[in-house]
Amino acid sequence: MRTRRVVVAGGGLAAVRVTEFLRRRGFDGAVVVLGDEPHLPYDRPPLSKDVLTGKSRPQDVTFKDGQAFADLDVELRTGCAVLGLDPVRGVVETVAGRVPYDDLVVCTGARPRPVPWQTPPEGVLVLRTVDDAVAIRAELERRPTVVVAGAGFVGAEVASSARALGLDVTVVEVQPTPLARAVGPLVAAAFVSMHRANGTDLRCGVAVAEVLGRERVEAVRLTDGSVLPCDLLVAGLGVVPNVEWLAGSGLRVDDGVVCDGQLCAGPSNVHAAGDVARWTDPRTGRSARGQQWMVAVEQARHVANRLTGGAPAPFTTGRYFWTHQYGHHFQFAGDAGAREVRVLCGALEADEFVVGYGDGGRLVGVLAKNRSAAFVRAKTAMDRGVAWDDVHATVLG
Amino acid sequence: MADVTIDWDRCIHSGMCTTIAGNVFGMGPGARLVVLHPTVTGADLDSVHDAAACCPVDAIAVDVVAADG
Repeated sequence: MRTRRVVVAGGGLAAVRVTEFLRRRGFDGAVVVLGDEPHLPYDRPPLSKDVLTGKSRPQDVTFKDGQAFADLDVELRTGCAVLGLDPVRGVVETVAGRVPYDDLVVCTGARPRPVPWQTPPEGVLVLRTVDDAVAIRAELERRPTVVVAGAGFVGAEVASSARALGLDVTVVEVQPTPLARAVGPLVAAAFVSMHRANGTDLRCGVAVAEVLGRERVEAVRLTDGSVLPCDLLVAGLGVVPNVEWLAGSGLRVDDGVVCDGQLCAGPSNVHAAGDVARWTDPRTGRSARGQQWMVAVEQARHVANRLTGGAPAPFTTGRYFWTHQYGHHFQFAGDAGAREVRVLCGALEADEFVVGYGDGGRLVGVLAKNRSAAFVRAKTAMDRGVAWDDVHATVLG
Repeated sequence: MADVTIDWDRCIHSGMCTTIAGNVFGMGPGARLVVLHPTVTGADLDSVHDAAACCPVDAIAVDVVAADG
């Protein structure tokens, strides 16, 4: 007899991994996944890269087929958007009716921040879902002149993919340098020069003020008054968490579902994982949403441990991310907000480097460009608590 | 018991596997990631499955060859 029923609200990476980790840990109750999209769950990182360039087809990015969910004894409901939550009765309201749960995992993710402009019906797109990627791919096949608003990871990867197709690309970034918060201002300069070295016209410190065109985008006017003719505008202005369905539920919502250090979202049988979850990182004391692939997986693992009786320690993350731009592979782990930054090998303007971030006499962050083995060595040393002064010898080994 | 293999064409050296399953994955000679123990049993099986789930590019294959977990 089945004792418990875990319902996972959402159908992205965190949702899928929760179900896999649960089964791996021997959970034998019912598991139901409520995904809002009509598609099988899929992996997002390839969307801005291989799907846009045409190297991968949309169906190539699904995690697994429907049979694999059945084999795992997971009931996958697609096209089943969640509408509301009654945590007292333990019921999720969906477009297809009420779904009772014993344990709920909130994995409803995030969506692109709405664009702040009046836009014509055609030629202004965002990238979050596989349908978004298919739409942008179709536009790219018409060989447009491209403007990308926002030089974060999504914007930079869209620009990189468009350049790989030989298209004219301008990227508009409101900050003085892109990715400054993610990698620190010193290293961010390396991303600026990389864009420009690869033929992307990167304009920092300005924003798109107005989108011109009646039926279709014809140009954008920037805050400095310049006008850039274009046939496609892709907005990568960040994301907002999907929390509206929790209104009136009593769950605390503040730019995400507010969780404690165990990723518990208030009631002891409600947890959250992935882009929607806001928690306080005990290492930094900062409240944050993860917004990275690996954080979603680590959170899914932690929640599955909790639901199967484990995980007494608070959730922590290695804060790993990777990005692929203009044929270069970047990997980061740790904290980029550190006091000291040191180039451990290579050079910031070169095709290869490893950068260490130091704080309190310790190595606390590592970024590598095309130096994967050195990255793993440095990350391992960091996890072991290597002293900042010993970093060079350890990493260069 | 399970056989563990890495698809080297996919591997991006995130190092997640060495963090999660350090008994099975590590750095070998020539500063390359290697599978230290291609055949895993017992508690290592759980960590190897977790490492596979945490691999950003799905490069780790775990083929269970005998039903001990």
